[in-house]
Amino acid sequence: MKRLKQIRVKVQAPDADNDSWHVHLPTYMMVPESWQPIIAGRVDNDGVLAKMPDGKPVVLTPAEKAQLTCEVLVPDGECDDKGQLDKAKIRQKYKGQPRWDRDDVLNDV
Amino acid sequence: MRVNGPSPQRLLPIYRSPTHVILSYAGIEVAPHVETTRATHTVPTGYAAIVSGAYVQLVRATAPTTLDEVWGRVLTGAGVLLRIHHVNANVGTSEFGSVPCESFEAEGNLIQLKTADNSIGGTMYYSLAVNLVEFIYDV
Repeated sequence: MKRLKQIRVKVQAPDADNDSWHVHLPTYMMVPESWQPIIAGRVDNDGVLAKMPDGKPVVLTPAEKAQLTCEVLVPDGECDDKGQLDKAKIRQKYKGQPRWDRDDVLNDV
Repeated sequence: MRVNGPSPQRLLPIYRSPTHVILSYAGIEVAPHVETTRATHTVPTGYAAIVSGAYVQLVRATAPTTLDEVWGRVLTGAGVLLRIHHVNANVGTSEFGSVPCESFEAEGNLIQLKTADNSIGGTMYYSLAVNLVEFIYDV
């Protein structure tokens, strides 16, 4: 990790790979206060709220989950010359690792 | 002149193209937030890493209307390396924890930083970091 590139990516809900909200990338650092869009009472600029002001749990529709993004810092060794994620470089760097060495590695990003 | 002991010597794996990797996250957040992975590092293929230290600091910035648990976690391939809780509404109170360690991480292992706040209202300052030494490991 010599230099970092700042890019906007999708955020993923908890799943089998990760028990919390996350970005589906092998290496990243989330930029604080960069989440979009802000959904009043449910999502703010730092992430998904745990509960509504009345204490009820927050529920997001699939469409709302699909549009959540944030900015992250990623190593330049996983980006192309334009600073965008490079699938071939990621597959090569993590060759043989089922989670990252796959053709659809960037489909959820 | 021989200065480093009997020759020939073989370098320890950690000396083979070592690179420092520092994962960190710092920010002030309004409660409540579900647990979120703020930073992740995956050990690349052909490499291994040694976690040489980690810390989590949580500081109450403004008081919540309803107090609940706040936490920060550092996870490695073996599981939770460090988990710090903070349950205090008084502004300025803090919890800090650090681990100087030598946790070995094989290729494909994930190192993660996570935060969460179950209070309602109020803000917390989070600071988390983990330091790795990554090196070629093909033995």
